[in-house]
Amino acid sequence: MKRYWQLWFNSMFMNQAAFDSMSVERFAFAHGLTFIVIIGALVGIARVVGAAIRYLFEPPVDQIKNTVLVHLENMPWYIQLANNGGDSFVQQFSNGYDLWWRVFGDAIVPSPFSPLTLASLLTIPVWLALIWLGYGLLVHLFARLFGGKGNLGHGLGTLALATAPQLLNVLTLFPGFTLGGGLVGLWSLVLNYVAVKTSYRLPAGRAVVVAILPLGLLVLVIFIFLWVGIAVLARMGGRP
Amino acid sequence: MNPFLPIFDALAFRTEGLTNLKRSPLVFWRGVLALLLIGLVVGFFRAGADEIVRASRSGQTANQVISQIDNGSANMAFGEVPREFVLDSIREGVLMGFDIAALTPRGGPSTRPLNAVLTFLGHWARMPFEGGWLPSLLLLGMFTQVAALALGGRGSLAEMLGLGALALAPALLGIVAILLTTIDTLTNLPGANGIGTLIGLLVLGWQAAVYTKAISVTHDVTILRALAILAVALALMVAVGIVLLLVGIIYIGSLVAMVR
Repeated sequence: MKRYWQLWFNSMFMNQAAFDSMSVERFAFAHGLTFIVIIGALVGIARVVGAAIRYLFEPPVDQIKNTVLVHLENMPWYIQLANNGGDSFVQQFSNGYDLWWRVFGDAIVPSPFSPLTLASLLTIPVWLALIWLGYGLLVHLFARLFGGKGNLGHGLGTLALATAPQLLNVLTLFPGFTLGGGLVGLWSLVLNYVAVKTSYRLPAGRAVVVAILPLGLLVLVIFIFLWVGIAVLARMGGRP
Repeated sequence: MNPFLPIFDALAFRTEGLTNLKRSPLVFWRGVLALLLIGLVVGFFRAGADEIVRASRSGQTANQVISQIDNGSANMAFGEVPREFVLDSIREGVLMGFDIAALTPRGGPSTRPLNAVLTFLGHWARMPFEGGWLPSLLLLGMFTQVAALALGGRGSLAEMLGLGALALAPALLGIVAILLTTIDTLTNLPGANGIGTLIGLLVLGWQAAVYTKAISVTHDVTILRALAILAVALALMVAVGIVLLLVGIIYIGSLVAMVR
């Protein structure tokens, strides 16, 4: 564990030696994957602990739900709709209100025992590993296209170090603490640049392009899917 | 090594001190450490000021807040919606907020002080991680590094970010602005806000000067060239921002046109 703690510190604060050694290490892929799983597990544990702390400090969801309902029923728009719609409106509103709280109530005051919260112990490390693999494969492809030299294992191992900033999410277990302005994403992007430059021995300009291209591709794919999806829905709705 | 030394070097524009920092193998860590220290000092005063203002208002009842809303909205119109229709909803919303705040926590009433302490610590500690601090350092640092390399700079990204972090040192002067704003909030002291604004401008100018010095030392260039690098970096940031905004507007416009 001490080794991974030192690896985290050195990669987080751009100690070039950490990136250099990972780019030539024999089991770079395995060490990189272990590094990511440890970080993911720690973030998952922090999420559960944070949920437990908030759970203790917040009132029960049912009490919040009932308090909100009492005041909603006193609002003029509700009274007007209830007068016009009668029992039908009241019943529909009640059903919709209950459904909303069943779906979103856990998000307002997440229980540390809810399946979604507990599952984060597993889903966060898995999700981080999948993102790392997907991003790493694309980076390898683009790096080779831009004349980079290096194998996939070393590339992935070095890119794993760029996951280091994810550990900052542990701090959000404290009430009132937030990470601002895309800090983790920006920091990871900076470390990705360093990893690409080191592992594939690319000049600075090309390393920047290679580090950013996979993200641009992802955004483009999402935009296209969204555009096609809405076009299909609009067509099904009878519009040209 | 004294973690406060780089802060004094930055505030006094000491080239020797900044050059020594640049040569450190953990230059980025030392810069971030300085930023964390500055942020925690300023954050303590900000969290404390927020707590003082909150405590001064904690005795307010729902009726007092509603009375303030009624006075503040006396001359407001809400289009075709009857005024009382909107205000009654707002009053009910205020009562809802007070009732929710009065509900007993799951852990019992004794957890309230612990919650207050942990929330204060969270508000205090988050300052260095907020948008205007570490994220801005990373974003501006990346663009500055690109501009510097294009204009003949020789420093590394780690050196740029490490020395660039010291540009937040003048924010310590912002403590005075925080205190003045708090006094103004509590007592309506005339001129306090104006002085606070002046201090803010002074801090901004000082930060720009420190950042320019950091560029000069990192990339071994003259101050004039460092200013040019900073100008190019800011222009690049604005240009990228405008391009992304235009792309976003065109894209959303096409989606809206499709569904109409």
